[in-house]
Amino acid sequence: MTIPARLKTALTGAALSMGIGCVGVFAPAALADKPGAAASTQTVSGDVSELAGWVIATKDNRGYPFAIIDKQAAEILIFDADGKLKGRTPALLGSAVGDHSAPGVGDRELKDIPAEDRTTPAGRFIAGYGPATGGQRVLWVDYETAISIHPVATGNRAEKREERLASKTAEDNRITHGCINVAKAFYDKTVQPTFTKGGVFYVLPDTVEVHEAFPGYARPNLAFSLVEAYRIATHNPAKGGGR
Amino acid sequence: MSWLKKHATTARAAAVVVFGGVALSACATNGYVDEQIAAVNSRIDQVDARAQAAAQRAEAANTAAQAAATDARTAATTAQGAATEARSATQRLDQIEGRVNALESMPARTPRG
Repeated sequence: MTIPARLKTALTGAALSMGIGCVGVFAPAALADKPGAAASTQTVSGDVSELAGWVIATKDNRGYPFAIIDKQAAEILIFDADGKLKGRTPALLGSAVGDHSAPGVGDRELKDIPAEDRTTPAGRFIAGYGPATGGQRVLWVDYETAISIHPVATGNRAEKREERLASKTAEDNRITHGCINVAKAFYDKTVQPTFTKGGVFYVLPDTVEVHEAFPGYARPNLAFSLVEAYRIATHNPAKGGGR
Repeated sequence: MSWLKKHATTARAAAVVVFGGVALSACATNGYVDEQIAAVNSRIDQVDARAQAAAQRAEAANTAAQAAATDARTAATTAQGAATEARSATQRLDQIEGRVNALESMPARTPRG
């Protein structure tokens, strides 16, 4: 899709005002938690910035904080209810490439989930805290398929999850049975306090088209969504300024 | 006959006068009729022009009325769409809150690692 130059200029301003690089560059260096990463020049995909603009412009998050998970880049971006970027960090995701969940996969024991079913499903999910086995409370991203986001699991040392999380590449981040793992420090500092009262998670797809993963989202709305995001960023300095 | 012979000249003169008068009278009648026809035609033309103008105004008014009706329907549709969107937004907000609250009371299950 070709974006007119004037619109792109406006959108770039809007995106930068929100902390999102329209051309894919994130300004806040401190937000990238991956050790060794070139934080100040890390790029995000066009899908991420467009989806973020759409969410903000259409208020699809309905006043709740939201997260965007870029499976291909293996990272998660956390936004507050006003669309302000609060953090960005690498994530471990389901080992299988795919955007759907096998029927009944949420009821299976981990060892009984075939390799091809270990997907992190794509789509829009209403997340919230709820009980998990062992008397724990976890942030469920998709309770039905047992997808949660939690600090990186270190029980199986052979999986080398912490090392994968710390590596510079995204290729080795596909290791879980579907859950989303992030560094404990990031979880404690950003994820947990942001989503205490729930939120919306947008998981970008591996293979299907973005608009298939998010009903109501369409690329033709890009101009509207970004112009609207620009309006929000420039006319609401109390919320959009200082980013 | 003798009388005719005697007054032939007078009779011819009288006939000329009579026929001439009749002829002149006929000529005057044709001119009058033409004038009257022209006048009537003029009035008809004027009336026709006014009727056409009135018809055009009526057509224009009708078109404007239809356009106004279309605008009204469009506005109504837009308003209905906005109302539907607002209801949808409210429902989705309620759905999020309800969904988040419901998660707290769901049975414990094992996350997929």
